[in-house]
Amino acid sequence: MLEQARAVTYKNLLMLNLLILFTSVCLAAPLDLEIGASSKVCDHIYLVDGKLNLNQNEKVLICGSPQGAEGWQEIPLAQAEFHLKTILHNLGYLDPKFQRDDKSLTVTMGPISIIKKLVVYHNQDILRAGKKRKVIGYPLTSVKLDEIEAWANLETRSNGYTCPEIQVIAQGWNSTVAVDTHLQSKKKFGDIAANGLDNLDPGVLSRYRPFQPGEIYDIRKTQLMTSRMLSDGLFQSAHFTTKCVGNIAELQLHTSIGKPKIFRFGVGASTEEFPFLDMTFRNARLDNKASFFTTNLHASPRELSLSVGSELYFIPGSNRTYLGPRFRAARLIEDAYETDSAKLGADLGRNWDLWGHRLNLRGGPTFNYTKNIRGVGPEGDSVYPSVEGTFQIASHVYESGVRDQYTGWTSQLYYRSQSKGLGSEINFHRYRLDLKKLWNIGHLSPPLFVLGTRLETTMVDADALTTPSGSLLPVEDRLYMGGDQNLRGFARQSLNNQELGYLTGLYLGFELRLIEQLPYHLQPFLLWDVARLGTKRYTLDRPIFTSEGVGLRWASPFGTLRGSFAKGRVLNKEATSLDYPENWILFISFGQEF
Amino acid sequence: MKQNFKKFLKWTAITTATLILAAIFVIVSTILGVIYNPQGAFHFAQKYMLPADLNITWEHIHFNTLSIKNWDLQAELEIENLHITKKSPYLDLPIDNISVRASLFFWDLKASFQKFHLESASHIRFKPSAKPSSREEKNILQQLQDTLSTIDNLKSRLQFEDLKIDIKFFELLRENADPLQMSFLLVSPFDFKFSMTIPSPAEMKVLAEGSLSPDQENLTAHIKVQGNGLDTTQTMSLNLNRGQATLRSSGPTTYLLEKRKIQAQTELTIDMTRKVSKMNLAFSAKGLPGPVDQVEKGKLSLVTPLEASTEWSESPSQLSVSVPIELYFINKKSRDSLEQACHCKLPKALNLAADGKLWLSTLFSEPKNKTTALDGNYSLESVKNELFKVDVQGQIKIEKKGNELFYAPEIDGSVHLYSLKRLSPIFDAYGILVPAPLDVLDGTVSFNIKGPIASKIPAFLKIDLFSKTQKVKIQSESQIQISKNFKEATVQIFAKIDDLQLDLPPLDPVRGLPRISPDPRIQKKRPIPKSKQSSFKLNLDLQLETTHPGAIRLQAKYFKPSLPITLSIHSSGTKSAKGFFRAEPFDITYLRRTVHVEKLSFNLDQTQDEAIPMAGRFRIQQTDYTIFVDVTGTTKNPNIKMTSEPYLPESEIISVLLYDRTSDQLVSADAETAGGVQAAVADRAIGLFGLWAFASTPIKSFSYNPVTKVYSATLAVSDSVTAAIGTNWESAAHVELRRRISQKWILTASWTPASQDEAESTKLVLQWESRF
Repeated sequence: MLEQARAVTYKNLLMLNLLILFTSVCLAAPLDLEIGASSKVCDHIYLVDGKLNLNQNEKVLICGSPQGAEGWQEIPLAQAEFHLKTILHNLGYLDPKFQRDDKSLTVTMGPISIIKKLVVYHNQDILRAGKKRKVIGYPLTSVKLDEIEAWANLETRSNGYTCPEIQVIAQGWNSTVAVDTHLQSKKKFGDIAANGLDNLDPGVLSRYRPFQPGEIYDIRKTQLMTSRMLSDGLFQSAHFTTKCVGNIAELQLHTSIGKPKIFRFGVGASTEEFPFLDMTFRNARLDNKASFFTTNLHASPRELSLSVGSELYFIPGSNRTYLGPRFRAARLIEDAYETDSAKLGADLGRNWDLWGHRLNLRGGPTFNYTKNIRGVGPEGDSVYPSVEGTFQIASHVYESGVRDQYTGWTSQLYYRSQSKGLGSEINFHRYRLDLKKLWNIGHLSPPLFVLGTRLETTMVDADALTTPSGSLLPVEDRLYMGGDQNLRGFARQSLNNQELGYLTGLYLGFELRLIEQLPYHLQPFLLWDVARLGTKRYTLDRPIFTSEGVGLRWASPFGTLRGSFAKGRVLNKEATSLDYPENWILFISFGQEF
Repeated sequence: MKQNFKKFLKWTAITTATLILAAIFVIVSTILGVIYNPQGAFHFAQKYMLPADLNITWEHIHFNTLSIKNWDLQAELEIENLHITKKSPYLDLPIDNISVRASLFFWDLKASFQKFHLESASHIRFKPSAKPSSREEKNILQQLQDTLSTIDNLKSRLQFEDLKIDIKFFELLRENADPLQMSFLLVSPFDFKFSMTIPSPAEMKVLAEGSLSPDQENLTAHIKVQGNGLDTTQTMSLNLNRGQATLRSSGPTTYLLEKRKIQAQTELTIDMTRKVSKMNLAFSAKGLPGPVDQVEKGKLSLVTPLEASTEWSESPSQLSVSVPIELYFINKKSRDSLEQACHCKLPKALNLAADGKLWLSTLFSEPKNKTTALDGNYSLESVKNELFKVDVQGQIKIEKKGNELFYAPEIDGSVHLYSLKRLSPIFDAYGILVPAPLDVLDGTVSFNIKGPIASKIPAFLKIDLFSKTQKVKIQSESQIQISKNFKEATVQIFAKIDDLQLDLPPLDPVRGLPRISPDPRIQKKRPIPKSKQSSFKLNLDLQLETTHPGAIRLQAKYFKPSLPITLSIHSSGTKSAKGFFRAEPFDITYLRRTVHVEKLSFNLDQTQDEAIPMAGRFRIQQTDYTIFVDVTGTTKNPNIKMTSEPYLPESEIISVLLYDRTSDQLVSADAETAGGVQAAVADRAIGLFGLWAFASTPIKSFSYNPVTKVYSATLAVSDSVTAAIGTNWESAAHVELRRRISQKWILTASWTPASQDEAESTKLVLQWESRF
């Protein structure tokens, strides 16, 4: 078990190295010049105190450039002083001192102005100054004013005010930042006028639209819609232009549809797989309702698979309901088992938006083939039919801020069953309910603390795994716990009932994350997980598994890098749980969230 | 006949005796009436003898005859709260107390006052009659002599043993002006104290203290004047002897002009004979405003002819002034380097000399026709060396009509700078910024001004500067008009740009936006409303135009061959500028891409809220398409419309603009970038500069946040695989990052949502893509 954990950690470290390499490439761009304390800005300009970041163009205007024409090779000191004064003004140094003699300029930046108060003159019910963090106590800079202006824009535009007029003034004499607004009336969403749809049925857009005409305007929903459209592959570009006409926000959607067939080939890595190879072929426009199918060939040390999926929107009068035939053949190679499997199925699915939430429902019969090559599970070939269904619901707030993970909630209900006699040797039903809720404590912007809560419950209605019929339960339907996805104080899938798995599980996870307090967007967090497992259907055994520890999340530009360090504990131990190690476990993951 | 004559003599004698007796009776009765019933006597006199508008009242009067002997009377008089009023001339004279004890010698017409006390703490008001009393004209010397003679005469008839005249508040009322407030204190016959307050525009106090000694015909006084910024103490002496008068006055003077403290020391001498008055004034001053900071040993002389029985002679006075003016702009700091540069010795001061004729008879009268009061010339000692030459001279003429003075000064001056660059020590020494790239320019600057100062003075400026790669050739004709009170000047400049070729700084569009202007949102001090009045108002009327199209050429490595500008701008006072400026056709070349600017013009005639209407057309030649970018609207909100030949929709044009391919040939990442750029252009988040940068630069990635209207772009600065994370890290953190490795290969970080069996995750993929 320990070796298994080590192997996982080794893979994580490799992944980390790759990320560091990638980050280095990203950051290899020309960086701003940083000048240390008591240092030279140029050969003849000295900085007495503090630090000053100048970009290359600013340095040309202050110091001159040998690449410039004769008039720009040297800059008169008075001119350099003027530019420095401007730059320092914008950086919050409102009273710099300059000492100039014939040949040199000495700059004392002086104390930086610190914002002591943020006031909002109008519409204080919309813009609550007390909820804006990272203003008071921070330097009074242009960048900070931009941030405040962006906050005011987001808050007002998210509350129905489509065309607000916002003025931000920093009063240097009393260190106060004042926000004044003129919002006009609240606007409602109008109909969407779209261009660039080619011969596509305009009704297709309803598949992506998270709002209805007549709803109060919220700019986040327009962003959500374009984000959904772009992630689908059908559209090459999408953006809205908005006009305020009366009490209506008139929306014009500008889109561009690419050629329908996309072939992609890629090599890469993820937390679970390193390396992998992907070949994808997608036809994003089988008809004018944008039915599509996707074929994917995936190869990695963990998985070799070929999958074909499709969503066919042929039902007249509906652009949200589809038929989804699918096929997947795969070989899964895990430490505990190795299986070959194939699935052929067809789902009926629908996605829609209601009351600020996105709902997805999909389900249908599947014809399964499995062959257990190694490890637990039914021996030899198995062919059986099953029924699978998924119902997902996510708040728009969660969906639009999924990268930040600050607020909102999401829930999934999965169901899979086999019935003995219908080609299956066993009879079972598998239910899984996941619920995640994020709380922005105090509704601050940006948040100070985010409390994440997670509930996962899995129930497999089957005979005990130690019984002959129970041993026929496919591995993928058994429950294994431990790892960075649930109990973070235990190694991945290390709670496995001597590799037989469990039939019942209840997991609660909590995480308290500190936001925007550390540099480089590092977010430390405290974690506490608790779970109980059962070897029988609908039954939880006495042992209680807990994990408590700390972690660090980095919201990098290319995804989320997380690390956790937690100790697993087993309370109310029984014979089956005596072997589980109670150690400190380190996880590093990429792209996974709480 | 003889009898008749006797009768006539007898009748005459009787009549004469009767009249004498009657007169004696009247006089005696009057004297007795005054002595024994003064109040009744006064009422009688007021009713039948005094003017009707004269009203005299008192609260208490006491007259006591001490003795009457022969024609001599010794008496005491006490009056309390005497109040004398008269309507014309207006007089309101309340006197609190008069106490007199005197001996009157009627036969000798003399009086001796043992006591004469007059006190008034109330407000005395007097307004002299508008009509001047007719009197015999006398020149100033005669007037002085008459005054002293009168005093001498009085002294012989009046004697004071105990004198005190104390008037606390005396207001001299004036037509159309605030009253002058004065107080007097006379404590002995010829020692006096005098104070006067001039209330407006700012209170000024005059204190005089002195004594008059008629025996020696001398008047000595100390005069102190304070207020309205002025503080001077003058010691004055006046001596009259044998028909000659000599006046001397000297002392320090301080004058506060706004925040400037002007200090002067003056020494005035006036010698008067019966025929001529000679005035000499020697003065030194420091802290002067304007170009002349300090004057040492300035001299002024005025020789005035005097004629008997004529107040001011019709013959002119001779005026001459000599003021050495220190070269304020040359101090120890700059003198050495400047002398080294000009190979010359610079004088410490230049002499300003003026001489002319002054008609005091005109100056102190109110002529019906315009009459010359002053006619003179002035000149400044000229300077000439290798670096510069300065010549200033002119005329000054003052005319008068009625009470109004008409100034008509004229100037004829020229300044020639032979080498601007060699004058840089002066600019450096005084913090005058000649900004880059102008600081490397050398050449000549000539300035000429000639004409009457009171009307429009024509001035000419010619600038001919050059460096290795730059040229400045500008000529301007100006007209300068200074108001009569010298508080306002209007300068009309008509400048023609013959040739202006300047280098632009070597900035790179992708190396950061320089913060060249202070963020107006950050206010250091509380805004203060501008004061309505300023001490000097300058009205500038500037008309600027190029003599031929493209006379202005801005040079940068991106502009091929340069950015040619034609302009015609008229700016007048606080009104917004009118006219236009436009760029003539030129190419912008950057990183192998060329944008041809067919036209770009800005119309200042319809500027509103600092937004300037503009019209531009750019042409970009890509492999298969010619793209036209038409810019209309204003500089604040430009409307960008793109068309192409052959025709493409706008979204496709941006694809071609950015990637030289239509969107169906783009991989998804590039198509999204093109879409982002289109969104930002539609939202006007990208200005002209940004569009040019994107059009001329291979874009690696682009993200646009429509909420904040902030975009982050990663532009390729070279062929190597280097790129910059966008300008806004936060914004960049919200998009998937893609990095192009080659035309088809892209490194992406993609996010996968949770599925049936897997949690959400991110994958790094090196991806090749083709759409078909």
